[in-house]
Amino acid sequence: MITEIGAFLHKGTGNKLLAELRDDKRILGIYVEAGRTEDLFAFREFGSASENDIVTILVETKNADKIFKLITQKADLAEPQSGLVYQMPLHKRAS
Amino acid sequence: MAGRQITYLTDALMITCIVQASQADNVVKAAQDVGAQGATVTYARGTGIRERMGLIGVAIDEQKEMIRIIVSQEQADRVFEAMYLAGNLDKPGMGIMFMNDLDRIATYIPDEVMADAQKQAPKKKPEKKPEKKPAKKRAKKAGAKK
Repeated sequence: MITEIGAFLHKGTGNKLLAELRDDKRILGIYVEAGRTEDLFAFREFGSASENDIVTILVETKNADKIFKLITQKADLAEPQSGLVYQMPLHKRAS
Repeated sequence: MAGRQITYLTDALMITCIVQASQADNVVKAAQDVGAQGATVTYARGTGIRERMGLIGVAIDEQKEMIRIIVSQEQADRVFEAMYLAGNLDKPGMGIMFMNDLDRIATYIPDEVMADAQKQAPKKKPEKKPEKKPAKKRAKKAGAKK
């Protein structure tokens, strides 16, 4: 079984996270997208939205807890306006 | 990291909606009108329906916007329906949306929100300890004389 861990983070944080985790053997895949968000951050660039990074990480379910905690620590979620991390089960894997 | 604590939120779902470029703002507004906090939007390129629709497919924008919204279980259906209607997803080629269960979420939660949530949480009834039944008085010995 595999699990998806996703994170909505500040612009630029996604690539830093990718660089830090790319050699971690527990991670099956890590992807970074750029987008805009309306509610996560108070800083606004485009009217009502601000730029953010969306990180998607695929891990074995047995490693999900540890990686989830690692991401939350790296994202510094104890501070306001820092983003959000979620975990979601996936059904099938092929590679 | 000592002294820091992560609060996990559960009973949440993620709604993902893929619509034609420039439609996302309408869909997000509809979601916000029925209680969603906000949304994250990214750009994507879509394929499939354009080719299947032949000449009419030209009218469908290849450029897509992908909306992700995290909602609580209570509001999920309401937000989903509002987004569906705002995006005109009942028309061919307008887009697709789906909803996933999330195991958990971690984010910053203001202290006052946490305090309110703890107040509203149903209080557990204190478990009653099984009362010890008083030992039955021994029956008078059979045949005991007064």
